[in-house]
Order: sequence, then C-alpha cells, then structure tokens
Amino acid sequence: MSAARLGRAALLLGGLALLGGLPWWAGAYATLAVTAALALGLFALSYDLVLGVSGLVSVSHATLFGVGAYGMAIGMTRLEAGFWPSVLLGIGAAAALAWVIGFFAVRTSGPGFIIMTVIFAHAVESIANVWTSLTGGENGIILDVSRISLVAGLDVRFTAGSVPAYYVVLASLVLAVVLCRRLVDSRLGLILRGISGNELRALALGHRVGAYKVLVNVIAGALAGLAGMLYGLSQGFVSVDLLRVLLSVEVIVWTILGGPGTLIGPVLAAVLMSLGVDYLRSLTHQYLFAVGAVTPLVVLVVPAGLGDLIDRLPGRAARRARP
Amino acid sequence: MTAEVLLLQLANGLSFGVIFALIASGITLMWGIMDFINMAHGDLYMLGAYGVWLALVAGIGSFWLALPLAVAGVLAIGLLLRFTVLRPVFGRAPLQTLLATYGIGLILQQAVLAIFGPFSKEIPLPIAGQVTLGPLRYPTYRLVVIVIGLVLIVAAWLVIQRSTYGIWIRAVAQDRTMTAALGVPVPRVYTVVFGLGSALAGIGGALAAPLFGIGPTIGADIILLAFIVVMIGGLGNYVGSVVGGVLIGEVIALGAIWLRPTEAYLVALGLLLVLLLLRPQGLLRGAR
Amino acid sequence: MLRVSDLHVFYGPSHVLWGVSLDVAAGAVVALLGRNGVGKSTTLKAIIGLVPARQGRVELRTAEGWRDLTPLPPWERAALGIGYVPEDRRIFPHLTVRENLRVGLDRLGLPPRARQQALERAFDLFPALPALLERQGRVLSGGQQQMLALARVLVLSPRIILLDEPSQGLSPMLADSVLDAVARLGREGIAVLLVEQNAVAALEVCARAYLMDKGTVARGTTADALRADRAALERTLGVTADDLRGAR
Repeated sequence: MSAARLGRAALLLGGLALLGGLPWWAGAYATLAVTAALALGLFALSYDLVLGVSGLVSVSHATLFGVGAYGMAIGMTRLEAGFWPSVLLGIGAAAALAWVIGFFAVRTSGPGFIIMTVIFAHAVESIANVWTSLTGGENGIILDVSRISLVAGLDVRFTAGSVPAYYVVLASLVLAVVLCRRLVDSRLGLILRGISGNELRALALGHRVGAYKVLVNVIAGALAGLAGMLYGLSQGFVSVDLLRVLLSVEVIVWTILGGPGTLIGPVLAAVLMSLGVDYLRSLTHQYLFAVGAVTPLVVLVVPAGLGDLIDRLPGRAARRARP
Repeated sequence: MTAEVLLLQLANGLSFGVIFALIASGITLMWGIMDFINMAHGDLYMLGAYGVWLALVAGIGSFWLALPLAVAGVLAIGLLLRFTVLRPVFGRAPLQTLLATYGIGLILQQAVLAIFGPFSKEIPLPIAGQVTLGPLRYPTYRLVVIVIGLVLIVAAWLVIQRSTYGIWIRAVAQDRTMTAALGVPVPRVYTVVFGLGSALAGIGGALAAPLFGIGPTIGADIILLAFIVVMIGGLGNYVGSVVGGVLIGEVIALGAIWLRPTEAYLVALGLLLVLLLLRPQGLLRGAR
Repeated sequence: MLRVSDLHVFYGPSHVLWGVSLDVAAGAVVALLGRNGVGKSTTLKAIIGLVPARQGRVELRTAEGWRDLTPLPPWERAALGIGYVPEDRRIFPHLTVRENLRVGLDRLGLPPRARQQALERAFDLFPALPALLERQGRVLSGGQQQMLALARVLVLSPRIILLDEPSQGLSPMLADSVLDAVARLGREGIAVLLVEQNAVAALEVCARAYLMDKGTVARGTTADALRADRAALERTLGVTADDLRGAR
C-alpha cells in the first residue's frame, strides 16, 4: 500500500471516528444540528448523481426532498399507515415525481429545461404553501416519532437530537456513499458519464440516452426523498421549508462547491455549509444576504470545487475517470 | 358570471398581459442575444415600483414625474450591475448564470427589505374614476396602463426592426462572431440590450405599482410567470414574448373568475407543459 | 499592408498553427494554399481575431503607420480595415439583403452621399444584388450568398479582404465569376488574402502564393514560380501536371 493511499485511508478513518463519537464530545444541540446536516449531505449526494454524474441540470431537487418527507409524514398522520408503509409512500412519491422531471428532461434542451425545473419547483412550493390543510403550511406536520421499530425487536427513539437518530442518519449516509460509488464505477455509471460528457456520441453508440437519464433521475429522486424523510425525522417535523426553491439552489451550490461528480465533495460541502448557514442564522436575520452573495461567488470563482482538491491528493486522480 | 364580468376580466388580462410582456421581452432579448438567463430581472421590476413610491414620498408631486425618475433609477442600477457584478457572468454556462443572477436578485431583495422593511407600500391611483367603453365601465388608470404598455411595446419593436442597434441586436442573435467580424462592437450591443430590458422592466414595475402593490418579493413572484411567457413565446423571440404575455395575462385574469391565484398559476404552467410537448421551440417560430 | 509574424494558435490542447508568418502588400492578391485541415482557415480567423493567438503578432499598415492588432478584439480589427468573408459565407439568415449590408455599413456612420457611394461600389461589382435587396438571407442561392458576403465587406472600404474558399459549393461558372471579382478587387487597390482549395484557379488571379503544410507556411513565392514548380504542387496539394494543363 503506497504512502498516499495509507494517508487517505487514515484521513477517512479519522473522519469516521470523529463522526462516530460525535454525540459524546459535541453535546445535544450540536448533535441535532449535525444530524440535520448529514441528512442534507445525503441530499447533496443524490443531487451529485443528477448533476455531477449525468450532467442534468435540475433546479427542482428540493421538491423531491420535500415530497419524500411529506409523503412519509402524510402517510403517518393523515393516512395512519404505519411507519414502513409511509416510508415507501415517501420514496415512491419522490421517485414518481423524479420520473416526471426526467420525462421532461428528455424533451427539452439545455436552458429551457433548467427554467422548467425552476418553474415546476416554484409551482409545488406555491401549492404547498396554499394547501395548508394537507401540508400544515409553515408549521408543517409534527412527526410523533417517539418509537419506531426498525427491525423486529430493535426499537429506536427518534426524538429530535437523540443519539439513535444521529446514528441512523450517519449510517444511511455512509451506506449511500458506498452504494453510489459502486454505481458510478459500474457499467451504468460509465454510460451515464459518457452521456454527460458527449450525448451525441452516447446516442451513436446505441445507448438509449433518454431512458438512462430518466433512470438516474428516479434513483436520485428516491435517494433525495429518503434524505428528506431522515431530515424530517431528525427534526421531529416536516414543513414547507423542505420544498423551497432556495433549497434547490443551495444544493446546487453545495454540489458545485464540493466538485460535481466526486460524490464525497458535495456531501462535505453540504454538511459544512449548512452548519455554517445555521450558525449565521443564529446571528442575524439577514443571513439570506450572505447566501445571495456566496452563490454567485461560488459559481464564478470555484468551477471545479472541493472535490477537485480532494482528487489532487496524491494517488486519487487516477481513480476518477474524466469523461 | 355575466358578460360584464367576462369583459372586465378580458380587459384585466390585457393589463396583466402588457406588464408581463414588458418584463418578458427584456428576459427574452437577454436570453436570445446574450445567452444570459437573468433571474434578477424581476427585481428590476420591483425596484421600478419602489422607485415610484420613493419619489412620491420624497416630495415629487406627480406620479407622472415620478415614473420617469424611477425608470431612470432602474436603468442606472441595471447598467451598474451589467458593468460590475454581472460582467464576469456573461458567457458562462446557463446554470452558472442562473445561479449567479439568482444570488444577486436575492441580495437586491434583502437590501430593499433591510432599507424599507417587509410591509408592502401603497400608492394612490394616479387617475381615479372609470371610463365607459360600450357595455363596460373600466377603471381609467388601468386603461391608461394598457395603452402606454402597448405604445411602448410597439415602439420597442420598431427600434428592433428599423434602427441600427436593432439590426445589430438581431445580427448578434443570429451570428455573434460574424457580427463582430463586421466591425460591430458586440459588448456595446449587450449594454444596449441590457439597458433596454432593464428600462422596460422598470417601467412595468412603475406602471403596475398603483395596481398590484409594492413589496420586496413582488419581483420574485412575477419572474417565474415571466419565464413561462418567455418559453411559450420562444427564446429570443420578441413578438413571441408579447403574444405569450397577453396569453398568460388572459389565462390569469380569466382563471381568476373561477380559480384562486395559485390555481390560475398552475393553469398557466399546465399550458406551458402542453405547449412544450407539442411545440418544443415555442409558440411562434424563428421570426426575430 | 498586412504582416503576420510567428503565429501560434491552439484549439484547446491541440496546437494547430505552428509559427505562421506571411506578408500581404497593398493592393496585392495573395493566395494561401494547402490541403484540407492544414490551418488555412484558422490563419484567417486568427488575423481577424476570431480565434486567439497564443503567440505571435498580426500587424496592419494604416495611415498612421503599422498597428499591432494582436491585443485588439475582432470589431476593432474590422474597423481598422480588415474585411472577413468566411468559408460558409455566414450571411444573416433572418435579415434582408439590405439589412445584411447595413450591419457593417451603419457602423461607419457615413453621410447619405458617401453611404450611397459605398453601396454603388458593391453593386458595381455585383449587379445582381440591387434586385435582391428585400429578400431574406436564407432564401438566397449559394452564388447570391457569396456575392452578398463579399459585398457586405466591400461597402466598408477595407484595406484588405480575407477570403476563405469563395468558390466552394459554387458551380464552375459562378466560381469563375467570383474569382474574376477578386481579381478586380486587386486592380482597385484592395489587398486580398485568398484561401482557396482550387489551387490552379487561385494561381491565375494572384501574384504571390503561400503554401501551407502541417500548420505552418512551408513556402512563400510568386505565383509564376509556384506554377512552374510541379513537384511542390504535387507534393503539398496533390495537383498534377494534367490539372495545370486543364486550367483556363
């Protein structure tokens, strides 16, 4: 094992150890904040599949995040369906919506599609704001999650800020990263990156480009829905804040900052930046100013992102195949 | 629902329509000619509305004096943006432009929020009373807005069709590099397009201020409808944005008879989706 | 009139021009010859500034002496007197012939009399144009487009015209008339740098020629000398003695 790989492995293990022991050295409030941030990291991971790996530019990913969360919340409260069926409902709803978005992605090109997703996201946000009987409006739907059976005999207390909640989210994130990495390195991943790099060539090679775009959108959508559910569970409620266009924009910023296609980069960026915004929000009401200022800066100044920096760590560059 | 209500809403739709057209034409020109997706355009509309209010509060007696002042202010801000913050954004990928302008729009909104507070302002109608048009009694000011809007739209169209800069704008839209090779200073054309678009949005905001209210988010509220108009009319297609604007205006107004505002918005969106499925290139073809 | 020194141009990582140097004297018609893909069009584009040069200089002789064009954007180079007629003509499809002419002409800001004179000059060379003034660019035939592309540049009274493959896609008769027009331009004192695949025809109208090979100028000599050097012609252009004999 080369020194570089040893070094990276050490970094990785160190980071995991730190995260693993967080509830003990960080305290309850920080645990809550980091739990939410990790869920947003999962959200960013799912978006990297869309933007970074397949090159689809959608500004409606938070819609999937929020729909997943609401699917579960509505299932558990309005429909009284029980935990696991509600989870399935949430994932299903998010995946279905992702399918619709993918459907239109195939039919419109470039900037037109981007604007379409913005309009779509805004429409859903507006509906959610108005349809308060269903969504609970700004206050949202409280999730009574004192006790959830994950597996037979294993009960988890999911109150906001609880340690089990933290570990469930962390484990989900780690698992998702591993699975996405496998996906990207697989044949499907290669095809997707080929499409992202040169769509015409992919078409000429006989790949059904449209079908792949829809497929990746659905997978990413399901993952985003899962992230939304985890976020809601860790907070104890879901609200229309999860559906905001602003969140869709933020996840794009995180992905760009982290480095599209690197998977880990966007996760890191999401976790760090959402914690940062949380901190800012506690300082001032005008935190949106900062978001507004940072967005163009990131977009213009950091084209390759954190992930690129990580890639430049010795030994890593070869692994990331450039399209 | 009587014929009178229908006529009233048709007329209202036209008043919405010209406002949408004023905003959307700026967006479509910037998009078609400079490949520039301006998410901050709605905030120029918002600044136009605040400009009129500010001028009135500052002591300018007449609305009709405040209006050109407000537009001049918006034009100045627009040009300032073009030469400072937006300069590095030109020529970038669509996503980056969209995000960057979104961020700048957010800053503008927050600035207005910080300076003027979150509550909406009101200004009185500059012209009170109604006119009688056949079976319809229609608010005079709204009629004036429709007339002024149409005049401006036609004037802008004439400029684009006949004047030197108009020809240059159309040439740049069709072949930017060849236009440059013929000696036309392309950045100056961009400035003119940006200035024209900003001024139209500012006028739209100023005209609409007595009707629709003034608040920090009115720009963000209207911009997405404006983008629907742009996409229906076809990118870079000026006439398309006008027709699309009137169409969406009528949809919103007629929709208001039976539906709530959000639902009317959804109908507009639905219309767009259907059109996109049938005619991906927009409602009207080419004709620039 | 025009001096190009050691031009290096890259398309991304690809080094396409390797130190191109050439000269065009005032009123001279100079040919730039070579096989496909050797960098002739790129050279013209670098002169007008549509592609950036990584290294090297482009200079133009104006009334005030030699100007270094290298830092200037395309529109300023055009304003100083470089006319560019690209390979696919690139006339504006949704503008009328009149508007196509106006794009460049309006920039000059000429008084009406001078404007009319400029137009007359173009119509003189292309008498078929006035009848087409209100037609949209996209309905013109290949030959008409070529005329318009040249006229567009001519009305600007350029010092030198960069012509990229003017006879491409035209029937032999039309190609001939275009090259005749080129010869006339030379006689009127406008320098021309002509890129032409049809080497034989090009050599008929020009006085000097540069031969390009693999991204650089392999040889620069008089047209007569080149015509006589059958070996060079065959090697770099694939032109045979038969082609030469068949020339008009």
